[in-house]
Amino acid sequence: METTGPTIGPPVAVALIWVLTLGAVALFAISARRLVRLLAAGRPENRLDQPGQRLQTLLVDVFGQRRLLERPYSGILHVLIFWGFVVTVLGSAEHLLHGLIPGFLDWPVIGGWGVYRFSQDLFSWLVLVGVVMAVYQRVVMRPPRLSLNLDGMVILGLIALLMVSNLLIFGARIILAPAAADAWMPASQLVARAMLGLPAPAVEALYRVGWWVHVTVLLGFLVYLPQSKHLHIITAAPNSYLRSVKPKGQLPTIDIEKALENDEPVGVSKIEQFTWKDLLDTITCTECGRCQAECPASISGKELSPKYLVLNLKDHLLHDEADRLLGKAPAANGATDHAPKEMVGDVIHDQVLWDCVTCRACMDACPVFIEHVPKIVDMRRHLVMEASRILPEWQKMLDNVEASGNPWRFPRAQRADWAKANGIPTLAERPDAEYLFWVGCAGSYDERNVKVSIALARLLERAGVAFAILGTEETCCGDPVRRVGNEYLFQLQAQQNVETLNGHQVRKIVTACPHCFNTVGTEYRAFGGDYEVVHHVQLLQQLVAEGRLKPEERLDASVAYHDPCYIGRYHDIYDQPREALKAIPGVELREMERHRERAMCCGAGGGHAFCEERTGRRINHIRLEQALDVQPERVATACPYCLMMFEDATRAKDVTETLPVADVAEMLERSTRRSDEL
Amino acid sequence: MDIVVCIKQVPDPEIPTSQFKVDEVAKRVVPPEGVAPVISTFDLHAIEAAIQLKEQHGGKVTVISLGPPSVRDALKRAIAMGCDAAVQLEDPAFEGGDSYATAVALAAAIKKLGTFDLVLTGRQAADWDSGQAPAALAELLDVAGAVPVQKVEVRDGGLYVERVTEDGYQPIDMPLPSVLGISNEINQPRYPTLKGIMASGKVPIPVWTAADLGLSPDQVGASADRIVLQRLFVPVRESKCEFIEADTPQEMGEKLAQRLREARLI
Repeated sequence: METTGPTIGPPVAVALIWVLTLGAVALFAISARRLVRLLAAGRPENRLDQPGQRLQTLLVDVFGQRRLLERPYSGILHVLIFWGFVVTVLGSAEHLLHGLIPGFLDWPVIGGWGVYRFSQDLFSWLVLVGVVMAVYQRVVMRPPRLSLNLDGMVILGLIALLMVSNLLIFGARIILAPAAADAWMPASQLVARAMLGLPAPAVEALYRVGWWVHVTVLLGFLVYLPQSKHLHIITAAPNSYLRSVKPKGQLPTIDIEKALENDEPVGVSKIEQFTWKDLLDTITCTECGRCQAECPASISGKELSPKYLVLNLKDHLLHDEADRLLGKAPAANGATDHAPKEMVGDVIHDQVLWDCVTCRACMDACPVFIEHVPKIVDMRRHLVMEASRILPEWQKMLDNVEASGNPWRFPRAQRADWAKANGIPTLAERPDAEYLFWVGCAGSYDERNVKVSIALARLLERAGVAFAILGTEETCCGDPVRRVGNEYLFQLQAQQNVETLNGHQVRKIVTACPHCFNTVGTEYRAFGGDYEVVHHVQLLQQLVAEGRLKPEERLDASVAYHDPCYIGRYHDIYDQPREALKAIPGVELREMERHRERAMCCGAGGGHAFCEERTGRRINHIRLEQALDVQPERVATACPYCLMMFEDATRAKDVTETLPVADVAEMLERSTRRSDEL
Repeated sequence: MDIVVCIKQVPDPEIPTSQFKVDEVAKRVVPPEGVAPVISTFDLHAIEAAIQLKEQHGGKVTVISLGPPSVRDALKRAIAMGCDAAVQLEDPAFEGGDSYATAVALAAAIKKLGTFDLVLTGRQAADWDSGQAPAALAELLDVAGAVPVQKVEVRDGGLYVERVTEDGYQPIDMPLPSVLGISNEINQPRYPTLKGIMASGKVPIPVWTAADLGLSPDQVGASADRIVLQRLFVPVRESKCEFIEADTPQEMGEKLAQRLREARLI
């Protein structure tokens, strides 16, 4: 170990740095303890199952920065800064120890390694490149998702100071304490060259300036972090590791009976009724705004911004409610002038909660795996089941489902009229059927979607698939009911359907509705319904691949496929519908700018098929414009709601003639028609 | 403030009329199969108005309905929304009653409940739209009555009430007790909370017969009817198309006007 190397100053400096370090660590510990206690106020939840999948998230999404890199510019700058931090934190610790322990200059063993030295040198300037890119993004590019605030600029400035001081320290060290590994530090060599002519004390003075700047900023960071959005430096990795690994379309099931017995809430109206992980989500938010940039509600000018939803909850936790949760009496003076804020109503307006279409775009865009949709549904549950506050149209929809088993109040007895008219058997008539065709409410009653049901039935007949429907025994799956917040009515619907399905010993189900597909396939398991459920695009693609369906009639048209959220983002079914379409001779697929994982919702999810859009632009009009941008001759989709929303938009924009909209099944049906069926 | 709300269960008014059939022999309307009956729409507004008054002024809301066992679902829904108690009036003797005969039974039940400050009903029922019951109730209970009501407030020991008129409203002061026929302008009926739904299963709903009300069978039901239904049928609507022919548009207009005058349309 060098004894002739630079020092940070006279002995009093060593004492000072000890005081500063201990002080900063103590302040950090106080803040951290407060945060941990606030998180502990949340409800318990196990987030340590499936460690394999969690580890994978840590590797791919934290260290691999996958979600960040989906936006290349900001992704790359973040990779530079993130990896720079991971690497240079070793060097920073080395600097700090040099001050705390006189005589310590290098890490034992690795300190002399060329690779280690090189990594410190390399990332010191790569981080600077990242910081310059970030400043340029914030000041010049100004994407609307980012709010230009002081916090962001202060942090970037501090990071730059850390790196500049790093280079100054390394440069001076090359002169004051030359070592063999110095050759591995080209950038620091440049700095050293600039200092060559200076007398040794001057170089050491520069070293000390660099050192004190570096260590003060470092300690300052430690104190500042827990108060700023840059807390994510600490919480992002755990928050990602602790992400939900349940099936994506499965909302948490409440034990209603138990909740009522124990006088527990059935929705969330107070911050501590969220789980600790929900609370960790809020303090992990980095304000990057990727959620908001993808959110159809935000894009169309609604009040909901998933970013501000999370930030407002964070602020409510850390400021409005912290004293109460920590058992401290609110300050005696002053703090009592304003009435306590209700979380649902004051902090998060009812309308914000209604605006969500549950499309999951926010959750898929979030680089730190914040779970927005379940929080929104939890608060909707409070509004609907506890506070009796609900959109009038949704009240009607719920009454309709309760009274007639479908959201529009068509008579139950007429549910299978479409099938009778087309000779489609019920399970009672054909108990040996391989597949149950779950028709869904839209496919049963909506004139337009009945056509899709018939097309799918014809395709199954042609492919020789033995299928049957439930007929009038089928009732609403409960998707819109659950998503607007009426968990109670949803459970009644689910129990009734599971009883019917199990009564018929149903094993395999095919459906044309992504919402039924998700609900029956993933949510009924909690109610004793375990079936192999496929969406028709999966089955049809398979039948085409096996040669059981032969699309022969040409359709010379360019087709834009719109991904429905509940088979796309919720179930990763992207390729099958495209392959099924490509199997039709003459079809040329055109992708919209937002497609597959980034596809934008048609605007009908989460109960919005059953209410008016009162503010902002119509989401389905925006989505149609996105389709028109790539100038297709057809739009194909695979969801009854998407079909209705698109056709509503083409009517409004008067393009019904030039841009027909169809379900994938209808297009395949057309192309596989035998000449005697035409 | 103790309030009694009288409600009626009707065939679902959301079902398109084309789905209903008329039994001309029995003079009955036959709703489509498998459609559950519901609380008449205006009655939901009456329930909501009663609950809001209770929330402001305290007291108790009792809901009464006359009808077959299925009306218990309607009464439970009313309790789920926030009413405190319910009574079902059921007796073969009540059957076939018109608005007046039904009001006789309801009035007797209200008297049997004891004192009351206010009786609310819907302005009319969604099935027959007669709108007679609130007036008949007021008469039988010998209190003031107003229909249709779009606003009600307790003021100076009495009521401030707004009656809906064709071009606005009529503000009136009324004494307590009174009978009010509530109109839909007054409020938005609430969605029952989960706690309410659960509680509605636990509240006992007594069944009172004519004898319980001290009424003889000839005082209620069909035998007390004051309206005689002559015939019940779906009117046939015919439309005829007639072309007015002439050489010039002016002549056409003249002929059209003449034809319309002949038909006494202008």
